Amino acid sequence: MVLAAVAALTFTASAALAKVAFPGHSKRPIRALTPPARFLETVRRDELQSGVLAPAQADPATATAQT
Amino acid sequence: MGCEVVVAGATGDELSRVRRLFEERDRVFSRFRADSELRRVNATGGSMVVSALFARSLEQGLWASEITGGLVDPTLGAAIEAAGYDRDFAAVASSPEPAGPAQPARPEAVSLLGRVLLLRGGVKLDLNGVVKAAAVDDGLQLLAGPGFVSAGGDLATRGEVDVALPGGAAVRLVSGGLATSGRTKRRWLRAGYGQHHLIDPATGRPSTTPWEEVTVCGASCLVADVAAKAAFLLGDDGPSWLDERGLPGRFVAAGRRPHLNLSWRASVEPREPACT
Repeated sequence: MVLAAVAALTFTASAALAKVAFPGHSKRPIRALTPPARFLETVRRDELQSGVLAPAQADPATATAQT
Repeated sequence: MGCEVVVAGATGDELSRVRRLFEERDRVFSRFRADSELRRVNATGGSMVVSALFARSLEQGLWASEITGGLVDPTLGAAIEAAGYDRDFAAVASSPEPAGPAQPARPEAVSLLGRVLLLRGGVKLDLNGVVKAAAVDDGLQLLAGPGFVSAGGDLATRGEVDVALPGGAAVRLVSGGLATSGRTKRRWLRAGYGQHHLIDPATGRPSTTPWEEVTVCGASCLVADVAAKAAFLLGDDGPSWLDERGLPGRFVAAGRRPHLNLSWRASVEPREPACT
């Protein structure tokens, strides 16, 4: 009986110590590995790249219009 | 796709390939053809395997939604049908009946993993916000030399081309694409209220933007078209939204001179000579 109680106590104490002391255990709340929001916003903006326009120099060969 | 396709600079063989490409896109993505893959997907719902072309276009639609903060959204199929655009536009007529219930966008109802699509909660896709422009870009890739491809006025070029703009004026497109979105051509009435095909994803109703037409220049026709739709839907914030991204935009409103954002003006207006 005493032996079982000591074993249970030892196990509980060891588990608690392992949780706070084992180097592989996270001691902070888990955070997703996502890039910062500002970085994402910059990437999204950069995906919309501009073409190149210049003043017209001849009669139009085609037209842009809504469909 | 219900629009005229113009190709310049193509050989006979290239022209045939461009024609086949547009026919294929129409077969897959038409909202009105009974045998289109889009119709089958919307009717089926749930989980299904889609074609590689369908998956790629849906990816582009979801990309457009992400980079525009949800403005250009692929899940507005039910909303545009509720507004009354549920058949080929030539057959859409004004009606005394009211529009159907509003159907805001629900991008969270779409999951795509490779070619496996999961469509939840009866959401209906409409990929026409990206399909036509992507077809223009893909069509241009079929040309070996300089030329341009234009579908209903959305164009991509390899080599410089002068382009007429809505409401007069012209511009030279040196490279990339040019696209115009607007609400003056495809519009109709429901119970006396004006309807058009550019849906505000937040309300699920046709947008109440002040703009009639927005023209944008992008690195590709797809970028130009997505940005033009987003700028149109943003209303007064459209010009600055484009400027923040360095995209030239030209905005036409009823009874006013076209408004050019800073990037457009920097591209086409003569610069002051530098002080020496």
